[in-house]
Amino acid sequence: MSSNILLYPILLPLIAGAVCFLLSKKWMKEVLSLVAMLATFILAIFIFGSEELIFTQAWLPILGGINFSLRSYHFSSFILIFLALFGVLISLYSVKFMRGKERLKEYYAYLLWTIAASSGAILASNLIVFLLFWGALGLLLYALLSLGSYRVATKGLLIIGASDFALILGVLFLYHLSGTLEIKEIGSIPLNSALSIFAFILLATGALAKAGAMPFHTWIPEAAEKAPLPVMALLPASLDKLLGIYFLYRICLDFFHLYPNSGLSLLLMLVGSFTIVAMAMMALVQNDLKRLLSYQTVSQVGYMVLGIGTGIPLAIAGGIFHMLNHTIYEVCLFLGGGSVEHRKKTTQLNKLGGLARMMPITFVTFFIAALSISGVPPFNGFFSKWMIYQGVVELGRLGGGGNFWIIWLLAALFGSALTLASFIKLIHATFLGTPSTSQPEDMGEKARKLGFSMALPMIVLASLCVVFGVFAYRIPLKLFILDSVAGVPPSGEWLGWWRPGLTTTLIIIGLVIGGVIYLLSKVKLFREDTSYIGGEEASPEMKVSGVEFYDTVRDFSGLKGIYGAAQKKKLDFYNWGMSFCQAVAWVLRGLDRLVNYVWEGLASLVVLMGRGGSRLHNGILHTYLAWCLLGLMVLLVVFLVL
Amino acid sequence: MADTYLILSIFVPLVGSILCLLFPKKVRDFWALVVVLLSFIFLLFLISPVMKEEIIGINLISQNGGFFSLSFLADGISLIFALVFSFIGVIALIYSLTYMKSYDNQREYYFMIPLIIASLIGVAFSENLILLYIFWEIAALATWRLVGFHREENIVRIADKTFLMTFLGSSFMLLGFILLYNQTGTLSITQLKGIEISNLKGILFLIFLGIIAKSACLPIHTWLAEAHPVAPSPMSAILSGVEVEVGLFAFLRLFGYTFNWSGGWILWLAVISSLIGAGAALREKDIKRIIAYSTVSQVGYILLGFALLSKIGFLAGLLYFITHAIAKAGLFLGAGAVEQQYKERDINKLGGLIKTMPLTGIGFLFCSLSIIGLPPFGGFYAKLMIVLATVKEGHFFIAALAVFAAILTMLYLFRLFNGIFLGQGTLGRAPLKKWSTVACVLFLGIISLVIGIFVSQVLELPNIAVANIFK
Repeated sequence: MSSNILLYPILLPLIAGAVCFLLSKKWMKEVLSLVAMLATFILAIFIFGSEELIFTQAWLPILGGINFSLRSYHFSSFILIFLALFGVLISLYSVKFMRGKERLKEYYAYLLWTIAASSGAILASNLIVFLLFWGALGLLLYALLSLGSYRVATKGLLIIGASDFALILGVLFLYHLSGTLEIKEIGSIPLNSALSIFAFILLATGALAKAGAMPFHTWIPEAAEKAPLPVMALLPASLDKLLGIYFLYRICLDFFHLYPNSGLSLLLMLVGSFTIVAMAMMALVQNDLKRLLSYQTVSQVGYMVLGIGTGIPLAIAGGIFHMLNHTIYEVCLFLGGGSVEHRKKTTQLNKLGGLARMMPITFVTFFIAALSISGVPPFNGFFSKWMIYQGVVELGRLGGGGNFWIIWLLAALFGSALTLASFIKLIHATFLGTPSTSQPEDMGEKARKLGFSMALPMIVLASLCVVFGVFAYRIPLKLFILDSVAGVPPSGEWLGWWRPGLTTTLIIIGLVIGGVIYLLSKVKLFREDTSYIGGEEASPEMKVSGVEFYDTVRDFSGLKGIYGAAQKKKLDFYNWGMSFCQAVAWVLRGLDRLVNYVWEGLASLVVLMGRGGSRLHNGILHTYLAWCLLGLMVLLVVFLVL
Repeated sequence: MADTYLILSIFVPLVGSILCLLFPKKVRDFWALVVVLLSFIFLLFLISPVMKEEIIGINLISQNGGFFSLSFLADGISLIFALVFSFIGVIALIYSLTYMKSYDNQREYYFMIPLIIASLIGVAFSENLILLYIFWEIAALATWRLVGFHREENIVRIADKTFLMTFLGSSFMLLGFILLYNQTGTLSITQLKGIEISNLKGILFLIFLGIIAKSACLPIHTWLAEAHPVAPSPMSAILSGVEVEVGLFAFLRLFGYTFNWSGGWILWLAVISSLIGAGAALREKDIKRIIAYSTVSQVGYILLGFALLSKIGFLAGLLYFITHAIAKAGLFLGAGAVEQQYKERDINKLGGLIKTMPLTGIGFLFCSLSIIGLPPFGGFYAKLMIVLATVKEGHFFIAALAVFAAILTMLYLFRLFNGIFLGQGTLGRAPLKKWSTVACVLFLGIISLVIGIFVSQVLELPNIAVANIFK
């Protein structure tokens, strides 16, 4: 197969997006977008099916031979498939969901360009080409978020943009270390000099910010509330994860070699574990469906970072697998949330309830995805989390890093329990319980029906959750993951880590922790009421909506302060960064003013001297005569003394 | 044939500007535009001979001993600068056709603008340092008049400050030239190339003072932020877009091409200047002061690229100059449109203008993105290459500071754009239809994007220019 095929997944959506701008009819744009996405998907499958392909064209020979080079190999082409798949599904979903929204013309163009830029970033084989596409993604994020709110779009762009600049610096340090810009030729730079450590941290910053790990996540929950839902499903939930984690993998294993329990490995694991627990805790107390989902998105990144950070092949494979699974169930969850929003015009949990009967398809798919994200077997999320746990345990067996591995393991397990807990609340409040009375049922059933175009993506994704879970080894791992990650132990050893007994125990522990939290919150929630005799109308306070499930957690003495601060956005890294920049700017401006005062002072001095001089020349003869006499006397003194 | 084009590209606008004083009002405005446009076209004809690595030199009047000669030299460097000078001149004049209509002293305005452009092109092509100095000061004098165009007392004072500070620098530069002549007996750039000079560092330091005064680089930069708010916007576009960069041209010509000398302290000065400009821009409220400080910041970047004295550094600096001139002119012209419409320059009081001036807003945004350096805009490659060159020469800490300045740039330009065009508008008013102002801003924004897309073609001419330096 000609290697030109690598250009098409970039060019096709790019051109289709440009054409979208020109088309006037709404349906033409929808069809074009769908067709272009499908074509990209098929191309991606072809690329996956073929051997390693390399496309090279001279691009900036002036700069010492920067080629426009693309490369597909097993790992990048499998990411490309899923990237295009989400493009297709979200494009399909948008047809109905986005109808009637503002600026639809731009929406489809940005969607297509996002796919083009992501394909470019995945396929890029030259660091400059990579930076080009990667940076363009930041700009497209701004464009897409601006459909919802400019404020959030700006916040997102500033966070992503600043980390992109860090990434640029990191890439250039990498160039200095390796002497080449061709990604393929960069190999395992030892992490022993200060420069290489800085390069690693800067590159990881770019990757983590793209993936949305802590502390670069703060725009995501805000965007979830404001931006159109398919945008959230496409960017933070899926593409950003695929790209960020893919690149993190390349940094940790191809560019450098991250040894288990080295300092940087500990740093990554710390970021990962902290992200898991902190964000799951945040998710627990959210009262908005979309916000809750977005905190979960961030929390799950922690698993991937933890997995890759261990440096153990099994956990790395688990991290990659989790990335794949995460995108599947998270998009499914977001789309489910979107269906609820489409139907009820709100995602406030206290205004929802009892939707299971009204929206069975949404409920079932959402439920599967929720179990999957909580790591309940036999769904896919369980399998990848399991691989990560196993990898962490192996890390402990390896020794050398003290007993930190226990912390990582506990964080991962506890995070899983918290996730489950938060989804119990979410599902109860949204789909179970009694319908909320605070907002009357919206009539106009026909318009609110899901329809084929919105249901199909959810069904596809939910079935993928099941298939990738039940046949985890036979389908996704064998097909995609194991060939991408080097050094995963052969399948003989695999049987060793599949221990149903331990599995069950751990699940029970997880359930118990979740249950304890549940009960803790229950204890405080009991209330006194007149007993139900029958025939009474159920008053609003008699129904349990689930919104308050974890308010007790919020009131724990140690956590209260943290939640309060988070509420006031005091823990927002973005605000800290802005304050820091403002403070630096204040100092710099002070320096500028200082320089100005020096010059102004100099000018005043000259003017003052001029004034003094002119005052001497007052035109009165007697004064001049007096000056002359004074001068003569001075001369006399000088000559007499000398 | 090429020599004729070279002479014409300088003298058509030079003579044409004087005719602007004589022509009746109706013809005059277009005449000014036509002469600058002609000059641009003549310069376009020079591209192909220069691309063939010919060096076009003309010697009209030569004085014995090489102290002064009316001689010109066109190579890659000077052609790039001259092309951008005249291009921005054309755009500024098209913009002026509607923008300047309501002001007094238009005759003077249409005399001065072609004069500035002609003298800037003259600086670029001068082969003799005294000739360079003469053109340099003609531009400074015309700038003095145009910054003080609105003739109020405080405005005239600011114009004086502008002139005096740049003149302070250029008088040191003249002193440097004279010392150079005493040592070598010539002031011809081609003859000076490669000559051994005993106290070169001292002489170059004096020349450097002139350069930083003109280029608004730390510590002689404070005039720029005051000059911009009072100058007419098309004049601002010329001043920040191209005139300030004349200093950088002189740096490239003398430090890079002729003497091939630079010091580590220049790199530090450049990057600190860049930081101070960015920091001040983040704190200011006045649109034009923000953009003016942005110029201080970007000029630091270009100086950093040139002062590295490496091939990629020169290329990066040249590309940065091109993208910055275009984008900065776009920002000033956009700011001018806003100011004229709403009589307001405070970003806290403006807002929501994207609804009333959408095309201007898009042009402004594109220009901002180019200056920030986000792909796929032209500024991305320029900024990337500057940092690349810095890292390649092993100045890691300076590179990190430069990247920090880039982050600050992103913050203040988004603050500026959001402040003007987004959010809640308090000043709702129907926009006046002024086709040329909108078209100019949008055009410059689109050019910023096009440069990014065709960057390898854009880099061809700079590549020839840089090859010539190392010959």
